[in-house]
Amino acid sequence: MVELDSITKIYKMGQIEIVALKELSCQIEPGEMVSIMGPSGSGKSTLMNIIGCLDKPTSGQYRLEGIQVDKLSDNELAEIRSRKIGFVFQTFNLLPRTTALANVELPLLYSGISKRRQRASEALETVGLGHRLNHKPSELAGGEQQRVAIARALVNNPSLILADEPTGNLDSRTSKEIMLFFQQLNQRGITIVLVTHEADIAAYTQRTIRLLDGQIIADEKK
Amino acid sequence: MKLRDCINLALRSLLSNKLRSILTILGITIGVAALISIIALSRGDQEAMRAMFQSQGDNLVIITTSEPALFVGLSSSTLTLKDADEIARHAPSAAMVAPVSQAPAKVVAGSEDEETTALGVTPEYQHVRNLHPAKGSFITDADVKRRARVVVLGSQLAESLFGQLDPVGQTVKINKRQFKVIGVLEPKGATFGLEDRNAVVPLTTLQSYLLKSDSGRDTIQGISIQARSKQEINDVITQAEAILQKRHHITEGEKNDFFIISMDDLVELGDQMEEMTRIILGLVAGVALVVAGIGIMNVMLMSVTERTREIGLRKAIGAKSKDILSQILAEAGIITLSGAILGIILGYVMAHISSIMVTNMGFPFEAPVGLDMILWTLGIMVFIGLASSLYPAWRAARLDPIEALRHE
Repeated sequence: MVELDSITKIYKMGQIEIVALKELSCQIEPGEMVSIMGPSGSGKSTLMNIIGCLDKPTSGQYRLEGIQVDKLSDNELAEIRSRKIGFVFQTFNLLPRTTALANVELPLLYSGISKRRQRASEALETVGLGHRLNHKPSELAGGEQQRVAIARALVNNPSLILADEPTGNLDSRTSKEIMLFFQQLNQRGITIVLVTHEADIAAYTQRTIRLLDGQIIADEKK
Repeated sequence: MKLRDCINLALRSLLSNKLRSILTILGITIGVAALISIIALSRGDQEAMRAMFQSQGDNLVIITTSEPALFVGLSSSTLTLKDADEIARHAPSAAMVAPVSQAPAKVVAGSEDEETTALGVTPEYQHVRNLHPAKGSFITDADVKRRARVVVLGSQLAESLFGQLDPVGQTVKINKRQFKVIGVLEPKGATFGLEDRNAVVPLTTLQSYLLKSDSGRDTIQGISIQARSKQEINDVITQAEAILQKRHHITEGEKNDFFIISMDDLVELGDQMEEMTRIILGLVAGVALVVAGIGIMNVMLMSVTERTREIGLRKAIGAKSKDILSQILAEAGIITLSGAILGIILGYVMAHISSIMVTNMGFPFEAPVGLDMILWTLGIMVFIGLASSLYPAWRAARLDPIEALRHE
């Protein structure tokens, strides 16, 4: 599913070069549920951005479902994101003043899929929000907002869901709910990669990759 | 992304900030309305002026003593009756020549009296100047021959002396002598030696009874000439000028002591003045449109900055740069077009109301809003809308999704 081969990412901040990832290699198989852990500055966000096709590596190769994506143009990457990847963010990133349904429809709009309304409401039912289709984010609780975001990530039938600290803004009870839900999705065959710095969140996954200074220092499978 | 989806997205985002959208649209509406009404009014003005000039007479050439005497003036004149005779005799392109003499006149009817100017004319004057008596008749050859004490009243003069009564057949006193009213002229507006307030009498009558000294009796204040055809207008001017220069002993290079102009020249002169006014007013309205354009740019920049995160999210979930670009352009397009359409409607209403107001003041006037104006305005506005939103749209489209998502 995800094949990373000696990925290096260097940021230039004026004169200074910051090495965010250093010849990092790893593979994630279809159907896995993986957590990426590490202190801030360890490169986990950069890794997520590269896996999510939001960013390109400075060197190295990245194949997603067999497609080499590290040399693709911005437009082609957008296409990959819209067809293969679903994002879940710490801050939900829902459009304000926009109904749950319209928020979930958004990815379909950009991938040109028809029957948007129907598919969006199905996705919302999957996350247990079939009764809140026309609520706006401000009218929903934090956990519900994150579920809308998960529905949005699911609506395009992606092969990979990337979640960046998905429980960072939620209380522990809601966090548990969301993690159990991710597990359910995983059991249905969706590959899930999530970034977290909380060990008890990582505990919901079968595999934990630990990063430090842009390198993998541990890769534990349960 | 389909066009319909793009417009839907744009509409949704405009509706989410109603007040700002409305204010921006209002700015455009006012600019466009100003442009439309100014051009319409100026066109109406031009038409009215042309109509007025043309109603003065067909193929008309006017000779006066000096330039400012376009309107009734009592400056001493160098033109004589003999000049008019010579032109009538020796200018082959002149179909009809009508000399005009004038004298100050106090016209009394019953208890009403008016200070005005009496014009002494021949029957030719009616045809050359395209005059129509609203009531009664005009001066005849017989009247001129027998120096008849008859008078045709201008419409305003008739009204102030007689009110709603029919003046025809009544008697008035001009400079203490009795005159019989034989006609009343249609209203025409004040132009070129003839006003609605004037009293018109036979030329010979004016010379015998209303001019004080004998010395001035042969002097006339103007000559109106009708050319045989439109093509011969310039010939009339050349011929009349040559005859007068010879009679007035004006050598080549010397300044004429008379002034000669055709109505066509005046129409052209008027057109030029109107064109200039229109350009100046158009520039003012243009400034309003540029300001509206800057308004669009400002609003779009602000809204793009405000929505940085949202744009980042849209890109993260699969929006291409051109999707973002077209959304912002569609937003600006909707704002601009609705502003332009409202502005055209408002401009039309303003032009229409102005025409009604001017017409009610006694000058028949119409300010037409032509299809060409509407299309031009729409074209200009589409250009302004595009030009002013291109930069904000480009800025939004090239946002890096990672940076944008981090934006607070």
